[in-house]
Amino acid sequence: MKSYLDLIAIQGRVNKRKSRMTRVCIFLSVFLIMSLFGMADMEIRSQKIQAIQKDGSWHAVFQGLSKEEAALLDARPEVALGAWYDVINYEVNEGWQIKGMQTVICGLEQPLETMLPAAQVIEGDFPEKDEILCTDSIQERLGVSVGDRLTVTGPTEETYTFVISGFIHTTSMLTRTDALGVCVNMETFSTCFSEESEDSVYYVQFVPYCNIQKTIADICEQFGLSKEQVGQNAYLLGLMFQSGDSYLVRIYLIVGILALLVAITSILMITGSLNSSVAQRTEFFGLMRCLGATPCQIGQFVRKEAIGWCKTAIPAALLTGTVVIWCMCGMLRLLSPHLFAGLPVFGVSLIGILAGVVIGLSSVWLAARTPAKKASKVSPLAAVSGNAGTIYAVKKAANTRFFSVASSLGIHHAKGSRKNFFLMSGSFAFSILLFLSFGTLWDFMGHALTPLRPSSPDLSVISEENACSIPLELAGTLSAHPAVKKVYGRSFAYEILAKREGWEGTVMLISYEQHQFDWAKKDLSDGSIAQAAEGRGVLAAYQGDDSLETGDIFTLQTKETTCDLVVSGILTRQPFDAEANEQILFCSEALFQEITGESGYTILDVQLKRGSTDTDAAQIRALCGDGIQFSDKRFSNMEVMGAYYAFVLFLYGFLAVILMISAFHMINSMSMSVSARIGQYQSLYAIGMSGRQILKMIAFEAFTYFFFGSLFGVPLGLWSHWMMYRSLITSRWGDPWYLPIGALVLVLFVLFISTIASLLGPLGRIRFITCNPRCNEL
Amino acid sequence: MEILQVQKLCKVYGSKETMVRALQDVSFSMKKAEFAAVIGESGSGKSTLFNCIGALDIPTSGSICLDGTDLFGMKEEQRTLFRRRKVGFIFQSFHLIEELNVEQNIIFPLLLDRQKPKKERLEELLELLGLADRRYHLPSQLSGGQKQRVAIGRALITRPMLLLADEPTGNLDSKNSQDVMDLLLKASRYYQQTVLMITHNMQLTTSADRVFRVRDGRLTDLGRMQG
Repeated sequence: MKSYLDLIAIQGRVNKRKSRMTRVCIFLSVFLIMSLFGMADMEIRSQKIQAIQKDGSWHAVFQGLSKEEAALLDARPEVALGAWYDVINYEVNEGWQIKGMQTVICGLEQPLETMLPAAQVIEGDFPEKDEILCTDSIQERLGVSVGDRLTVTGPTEETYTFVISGFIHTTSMLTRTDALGVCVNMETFSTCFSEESEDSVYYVQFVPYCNIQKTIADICEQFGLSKEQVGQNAYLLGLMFQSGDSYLVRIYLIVGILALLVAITSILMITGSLNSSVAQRTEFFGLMRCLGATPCQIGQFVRKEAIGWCKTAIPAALLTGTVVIWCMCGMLRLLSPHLFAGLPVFGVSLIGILAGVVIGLSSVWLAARTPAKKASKVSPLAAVSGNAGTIYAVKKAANTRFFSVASSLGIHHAKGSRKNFFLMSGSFAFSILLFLSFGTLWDFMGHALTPLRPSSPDLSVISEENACSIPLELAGTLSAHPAVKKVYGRSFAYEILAKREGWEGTVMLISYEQHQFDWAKKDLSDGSIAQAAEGRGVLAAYQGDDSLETGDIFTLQTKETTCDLVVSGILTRQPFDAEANEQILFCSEALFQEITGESGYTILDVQLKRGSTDTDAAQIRALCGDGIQFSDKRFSNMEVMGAYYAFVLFLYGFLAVILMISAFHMINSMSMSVSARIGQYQSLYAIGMSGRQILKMIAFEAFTYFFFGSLFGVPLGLWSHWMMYRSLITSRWGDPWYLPIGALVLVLFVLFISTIASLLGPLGRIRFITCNPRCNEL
Repeated sequence: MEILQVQKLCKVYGSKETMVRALQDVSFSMKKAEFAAVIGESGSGKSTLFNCIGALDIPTSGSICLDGTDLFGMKEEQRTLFRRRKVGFIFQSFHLIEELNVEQNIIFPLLLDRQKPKKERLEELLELLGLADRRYHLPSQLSGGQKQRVAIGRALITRPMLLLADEPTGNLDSKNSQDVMDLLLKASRYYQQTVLMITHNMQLTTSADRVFRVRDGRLTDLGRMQG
């Protein structure tokens, strides 16, 4: 033993059990932080993988650059990769075909192979002059292979013949539009398809750690480009924390606030635990003072002791956090093997580890300040006066007027020390606040991941030129197919002149059948669905116009007639894009027919049964005949389902950890409180208080923390929920805030149960007191 | 040479109706290597006097000078350092650190002062205390008398000028009580330390050079008691 501080290690070895609770507190806090950051890191990683798989790894795209300007741009040190890209027949309406099938033709430079997933060659080589890359769907449909010749026919029947140099994957866009896709190099593209095209764009990938927004602004200034001439891979940039989008910045801010709340919860929990630990050792610190330890030395002792506990608690938490993250990654790969193939099962989140260590250590350091100060203020008299061990100096007698002595003493114990009362109730309040704040993400997920709605189709049959030309009978024909679960159609009437009081513009009228009316119930913010379903009114989608109310009348001016439509309900969600000053209205099929005179569908959606195959999809496609567009959305739905699972896993995991922390904190705190007062309970038992009464006293103490924690936590949590809901959801989708009764009941229930669970430990000790009334040490 | 000078010491607890005068105008002084005993009934103010002289408690008025330094004329931090180096405490209930062995308990005050214990001094002390063969024992493995000897060793290790003992034999049988008294006397004579001991046991006062009686907060010098 070379220093008085060595006593910490000696005491730690001997009193392992006594410090166990504090170590567990530190463990849980670090685990929480590590999980939060680690899971967020993995979520961002998986989202990045998805984003790169879906949209590519490019960062910005510039339109209107000359070749010389592109070369100058390429020479900038911030630019890692740059490549030209052009496309014709993207909307599948320009007449370019291969063997009678609509074909999208792209011109690209080789660096795009690494920037655009659609340009990655899966077989063969990148095309040279007079060579062509085809999608694998062409390989399947036309039975061609590398080296074969392929002829592309233009709108004026001109033909170009190329040698197939390789194959690329079919994109979801091509599947959706039922078109073929080919690529040639830029030289061939400009020779054959689009000489001196102004539509050519220049894709750029920047070097890592470059300030992308600033660089883009510099480039715009250098080449005199307007904002409209620059496109950004917003989602990828958002995931790289490089987005300038105000909505994403708001999301970053909310994530920051949540991380801060987690850190505060951890500090509160560790402080509470250390305070109890110090209170139990008042006599020891008094003795140290008697022997000549200065207040500063005592403070150092407590801080070093706390940091010493981190030596085991933090690595254990980091290890557990890492294992949890491994499990999460494993589950993600199991749920969506295709989408999360790039996610390592045994990935280590450096960000999570770093955050765990840094925030964990600083939390412990900050949390140890108050107890250290408290310990340093212990008078040396505490060791010699015989008053040591008193948790706090009692200034006011317990109020026994309203409750029994046992209950009054319990409440008095809880409220006796202001600091302890604040820490305990504060932890409860923070748990509620944290849970409700994170709960907002639940609603956010429901809005952000749209294809998860029950109405999401697997296949869509779309009329050409968006006319109401799909016969109603086709719905019945498709329903009869054994792989089909549901078929539902919609008819669209565009740009109908309309007005309502104080508004004049156009209306997009859409017909719904019963399935769609049923699904719309979830989005109804006001009025009734039934009236619209029966043809006695219409549903209006909220489009940011707060003046729209149920009962408003739209007067529609069609070619044949004028009619008045009463708004019978308002939907919060706007499932289709509308032009400026265009209102979307939903009505029954009969009313649609009455107003427009059209009897066919514009779009027919099909949901398939579980386990349906590509053959089923091909059979359904065949049933639809010609003259329609067939869109297979199964692949893109799967992409979003993957993102959904990742988010659900992240959110559920995190909410579970928050609840676990709250529960454990209460159990731990009550155990420590009972340990500190065990002598007092023994005395009370000796003077005639029964074990049942002692337990009642402890229960009242615990429920006082629960009551006051809820009293402060519920309004604070609701306020935070309201703030975040407005910021994340109302501002974007218009949904009004609602009282999160489900989340509130759940968090209060868990806290209530943990309060009860916190009495189980004391129950055992009280049994021990009643069996061994003379025992001094428990 | 006067080591300890107590001048008009007063200590008042509470106020108005609850006011208690624990010490009233207490004045006395002690010379180097003097051994004094303080006797008095329970609640008479002995412990308050002990706490004030040991700088554990702050008097309401009056002064205490140890080795010419006013104990309460300095800041808390300085006073702690002064107490660490100049005053040694021995308590009735030993107050040993249960997790440390005999040797570690004894050297603990030196470690607080960031000093390296001298091997010869430690050996000498352990021999003097009769604990050489028990140096690696934990307090839980010692008898009451041995525990008190460890506490005395801990008080002596820094070679303080003043040794304050509060009922050092209160928890011991007569044989161990006598051993402890012999040790305190040895310390006083051998190390030239001033010893102030509080006791209930009148028999023990016969070894003391002077005896003080505290009654209702007032101190009376009874001189030397005859055996």
